[in-house]
Amino acid sequence: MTINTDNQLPIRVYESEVFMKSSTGLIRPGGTELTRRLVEFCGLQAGDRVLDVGCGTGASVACLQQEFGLQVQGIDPSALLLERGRGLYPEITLQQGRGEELPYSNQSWKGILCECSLSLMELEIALQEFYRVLYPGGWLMIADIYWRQPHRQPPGQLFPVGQSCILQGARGREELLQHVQEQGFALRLWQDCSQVLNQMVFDIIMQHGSLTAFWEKVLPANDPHLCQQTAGRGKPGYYLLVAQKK
Amino acid sequence: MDNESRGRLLCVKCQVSLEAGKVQIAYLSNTFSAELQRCPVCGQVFIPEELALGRMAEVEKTLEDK
Repeated sequence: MTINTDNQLPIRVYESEVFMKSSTGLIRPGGTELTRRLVEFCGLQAGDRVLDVGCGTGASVACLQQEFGLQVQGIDPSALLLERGRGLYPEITLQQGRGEELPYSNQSWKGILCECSLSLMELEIALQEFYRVLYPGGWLMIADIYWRQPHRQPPGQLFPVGQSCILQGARGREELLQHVQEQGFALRLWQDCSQVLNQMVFDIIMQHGSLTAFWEKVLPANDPHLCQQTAGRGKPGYYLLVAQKK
Repeated sequence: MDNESRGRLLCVKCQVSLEAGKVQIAYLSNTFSAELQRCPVCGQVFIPEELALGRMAEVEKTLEDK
């Protein structure tokens, strides 16, 4: 397992070799099909400035630049993923940084894309930053994990402290919508896409034999059965959300 | 489907080699995309015993738990 220790995050699940072996560098459910759906919903045009926050290796940045002609940049805290992305997609612009502390001036982007990464950020601070750097009328496009039954999810740490996993910061639908709207965004779309999560589970089992075997490889120090049971309690789902800065 | 001596798979009906390709697998209300060996003529798909009894059974169990 590859462990990166920058930014005081000792273990990042998405940096594990299990994900890094993916040929496209894509490490989220749904692939670029959901990315296209988000951009088409917002009606973004060639030349529009879009920032991909938590871009990983930059697969979406490359896709949107090539297929839509958008001016896209990616930002991610993981030096490891950025390095891999620069090798996979030499034509794109990637920068190291966190969603909670974006190094851009106010009102400098027409769209912000945040795919399977918001749950890894401090939600309120990240949403404030997104609001700050978007143009008035700018689009916030999110795809992420959520709990379909959040009342069944036990409070507190899902995984040991210091392990950064997307499930750790997942929330329920109502809580998410409340935060987005309190920040001043107008909600334009909420769509459940949990089928893509099922496909990801299917792919994981085809590749690794079982979810338990997958957890063993990703978080070898933990009890894989406990990880699986705990993660399943709140019924994980996947959503698309589009909101617009007022 | 027959196993040829060198491990290639033949479609019994069409007598042509199977080829790897994307197929759709339906289970309850879910449809999954998977790469499996299929006949390029009649489209029949070969599902190895290990896949059916092992990983597919695991998928079934996992989704029922979800």
